[in-house]
Amino acid sequence: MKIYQKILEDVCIIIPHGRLDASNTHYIQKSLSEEAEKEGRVVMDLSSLEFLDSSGLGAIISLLRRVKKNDGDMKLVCPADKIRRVFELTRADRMFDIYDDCEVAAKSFPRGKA
Amino acid sequence: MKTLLIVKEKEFSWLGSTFQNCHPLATQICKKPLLEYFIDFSILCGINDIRLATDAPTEELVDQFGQGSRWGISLDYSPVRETDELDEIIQKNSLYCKDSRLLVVKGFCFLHYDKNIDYKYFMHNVEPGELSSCETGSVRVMDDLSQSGTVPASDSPTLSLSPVSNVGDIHRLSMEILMDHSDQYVLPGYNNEDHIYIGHNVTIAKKAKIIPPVMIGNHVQIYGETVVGPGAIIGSDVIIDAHSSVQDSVIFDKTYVGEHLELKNKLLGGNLIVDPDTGTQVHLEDPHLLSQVKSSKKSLPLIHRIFHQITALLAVIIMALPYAAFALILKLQKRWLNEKETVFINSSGRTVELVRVTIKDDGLVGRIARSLSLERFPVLIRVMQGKLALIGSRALPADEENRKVLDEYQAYRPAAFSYAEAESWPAEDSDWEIVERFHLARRSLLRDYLMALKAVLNSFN
Repeated sequence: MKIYQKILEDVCIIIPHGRLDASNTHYIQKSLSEEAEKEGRVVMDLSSLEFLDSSGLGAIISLLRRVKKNDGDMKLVCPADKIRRVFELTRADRMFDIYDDCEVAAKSFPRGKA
Repeated sequence: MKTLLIVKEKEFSWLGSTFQNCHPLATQICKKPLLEYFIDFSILCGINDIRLATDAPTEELVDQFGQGSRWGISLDYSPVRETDELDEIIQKNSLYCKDSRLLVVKGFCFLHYDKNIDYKYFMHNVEPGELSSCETGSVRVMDDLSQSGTVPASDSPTLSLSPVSNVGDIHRLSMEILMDHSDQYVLPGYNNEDHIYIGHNVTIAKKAKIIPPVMIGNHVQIYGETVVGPGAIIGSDVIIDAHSSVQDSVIFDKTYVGEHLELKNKLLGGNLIVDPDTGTQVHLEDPHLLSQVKSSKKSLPLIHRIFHQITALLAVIIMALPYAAFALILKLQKRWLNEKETVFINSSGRTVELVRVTIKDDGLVGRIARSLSLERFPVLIRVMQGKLALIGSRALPADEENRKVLDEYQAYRPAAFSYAEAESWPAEDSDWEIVERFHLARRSLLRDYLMALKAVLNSFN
């Protein structure tokens, strides 16, 4: 699995590629820099993800919790149906704002401190 | 052009558990699911892409409607939050809504249209804005291309909305369509005679009387001396026993109507009778009068159950001796506590009593007992009896709060070991349900075996 990161304005965008499962969840945990965690504006773009298992889901949820600790928020971009279904099936979709476009998700953060 | 349907859970929460066998959007009006009317109308408008944005669970809808291939369209689902307003929902679906005219239907309502009218021209040329609304919803055209449209909304062909906010509305709409507007919609069943729709595999006794308008579903048995109609909508898998009459009433799927019952102006489903005018609900306890026709339940395949039971039996045989020895030692030290607990064993609320063991010893003996999972011994006996699974959901104590949880947790399958402890990832207590739902949706014999093994290995650590 590869994880790309980019900053769009002041939003940290994390883009995992490939499979996110028990063997690589630690990469996701490390993908969020301390600075971005404090800033609290994170978008996780799952559109290039091919597979997500329960450990991967757990890693994403724990990342959300870390961001929320600092009064921030993490939004998801998830157009792929099979990945979106994982969130729906497990009811984890209730924890996130889920967008189908990364740019729109990044712009959806209120201006000023999140 | 595309359709965006927006329906929030709170808009149909009034349905509660009234007809809990189906998703509210699959609630039948004239034997046709509500969502299907929206699909039909979209097709009449020349729309091939429909997205349902909802905060409610969609598994049942996906099972029933799939991705829309049955209608030759693309149907997908988008999760939204309860608090999301229309502009936020459009934002969340911006890629879908981009560069397209959008038909937005918002709310839990019924859309009146006429299948004989071609809506394509109107929809593609109408001025963007609201076309119709009612107390519980609205239908509008939005245009991302900033095309103004040349046809005023007031020139709309037959198109209006009716609220669906109580069971009376379901009854009223069903009767209205059956009696006066059946030619406006594509309705299920064969229709060789006016106002009579009959499904397949319907058995009608010689002495039964059918008075139109009526609509009868599939696999229905109507016994002798029965009078069905006028104004009867009978669901599928329904049995109407002798000497009964059904008039101005709707009988939902899988219902048995006993002998000598006179039903007039009622809604029936399972053992429930609802008066559409007052909303009064009566559950009949006598299965000879009214009951649900049982179908094979979605349960574990036999081979799975046998696997769980045999594995539990083997575990009990292996653990019996250490259990007896450790229990004795720890009981003498008063560090072995037995507690009885009643838990739910399925989502319909059946319960069983379990013996929960707590080992209150952090010393060597306690640690060994715990790592051998000896505290599960009494629960494994329940697995052997087939009451619980070996691996599955956490067994929820039988109380009111958990009863509500089960209403939304149809896949619930309590077990000796839970998927959550096998995974050991839940960071917070509320996360267990997420893990369980994930694995319950993907369970297989091999997966169960590996997860059970993982749970046992975890107890060693």
